Amino acid sequence: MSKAEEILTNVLTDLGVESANRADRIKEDCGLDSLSLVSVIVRLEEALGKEFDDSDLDPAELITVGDLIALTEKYL
Amino acid sequence: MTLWEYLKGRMLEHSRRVALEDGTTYGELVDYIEERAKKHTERNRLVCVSGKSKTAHAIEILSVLASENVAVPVDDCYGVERKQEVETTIAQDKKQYPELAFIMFTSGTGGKPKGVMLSHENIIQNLKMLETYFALLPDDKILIARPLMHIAVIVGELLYGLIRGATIQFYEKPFLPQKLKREMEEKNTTVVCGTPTLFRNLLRVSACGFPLKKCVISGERLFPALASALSAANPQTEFYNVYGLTEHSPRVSALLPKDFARKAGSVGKLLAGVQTKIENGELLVKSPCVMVGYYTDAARTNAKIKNGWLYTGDVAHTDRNGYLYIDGRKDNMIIRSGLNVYPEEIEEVASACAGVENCVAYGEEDDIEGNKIVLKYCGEVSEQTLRKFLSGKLAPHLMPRAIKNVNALPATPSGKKVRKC
Repeated sequence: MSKAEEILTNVLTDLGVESANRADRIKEDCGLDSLSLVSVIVRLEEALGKEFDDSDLDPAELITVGDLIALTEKYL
Repeated sequence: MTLWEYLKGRMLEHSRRVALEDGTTYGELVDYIEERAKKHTERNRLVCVSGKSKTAHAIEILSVLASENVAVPVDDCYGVERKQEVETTIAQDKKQYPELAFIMFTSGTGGKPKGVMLSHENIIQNLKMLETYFALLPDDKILIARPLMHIAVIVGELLYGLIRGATIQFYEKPFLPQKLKREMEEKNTTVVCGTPTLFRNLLRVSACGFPLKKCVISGERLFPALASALSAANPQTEFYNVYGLTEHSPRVSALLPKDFARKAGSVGKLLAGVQTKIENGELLVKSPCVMVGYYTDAARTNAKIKNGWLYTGDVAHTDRNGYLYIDGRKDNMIIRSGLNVYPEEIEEVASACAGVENCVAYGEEDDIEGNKIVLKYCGEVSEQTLRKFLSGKLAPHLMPRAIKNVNALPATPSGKKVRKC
């Protein structure tokens, strides 16, 4: 598992999402709605010690788990 | 007097003050709203109101009121299906409702959202109650961060801000605490209202506090630990913890800043004009703010209001100094991040999934969202499959955080579901 995958897996497990594949959609497959997504973002930022840029947080670009992994990788 | 007449009168008292962040004055705002109101040619009809932004939504709601029609706020954020269902229902109703100002649709059991009918008088009286304790000043800048789908936001933030002559700001970005905090700083916001969940998130990203003068907390239980943490991080901020329900327009009681720390856990004292009694542990209230009733649901209305007393569904007690404490719910309703969730709504949908024999949904206390929703079920179908099935059918905020396949579900001796872990 890459560093980014590891960080994201920990965050998702904390929030009760037990197993997720890259292709899984955040809402439909992981059951995370916009309220829970806030928690994901906050925790990712904490783990990375960085704040995501507004432009990287366009809801239209964050559809799958893979998108979240890419986002995490970008800030590593 | 209609709600708009009341609002207009108050707004024109401070017509030169700045109403909106773009510099629009109150005088200009009143003119603008009345101009927009002209597109509604009929009177006293139910009008669904949506908006692409909070700003647009607010203006549209006010325009509908100014046109002497009844505002029925709708939005995608709590499910596209629910929005369409409400729009279809309302479109079929051509009757006139001169006494109403709003119909607020909220979660209900039996698969049907409840439409809370609120009159002009209901809202005007609740605004007057707010004025007995909430010193919002014309110099204040209030940032509205939540959807205008909740009467607490409409009455407690928008309308109250307007009658007090404050400047109204809208937060239109994605709902993320860091960005919200930054916007507060950039806009010199002085007042924010939100749920304990929102403030907990804000605290996570700003241990050294946020630059606000007044914070009003409502919508779900505020645990003393969070209250202490908020006070400690923000010694210069006045915190209010308030309680209400849509059926009461909404505010019922308020815990004032001076009591926020020493009476942590309480929702404060009843507002002027609100009578109360406790019946079988349940809090009943009576005042001019009790709703007119549920839209097209006389049976539910009669179960909720008896002899003018509103059955809140909350179990409560008061201490000997008159401070109110909410102890829990009488029914099974769960409050998650300030939103009402009926486990029955989730169970009904889950039961329809092929392979699910039996299921139970319940809330588990959680420091992320107040309550997290858990769904346990018996059956041959996998958790993944059930989750996929649900996500197509349940509004987003109803989705369980955890779904567990179990061998057996506990039941009471009479066979009823047991809704605990």
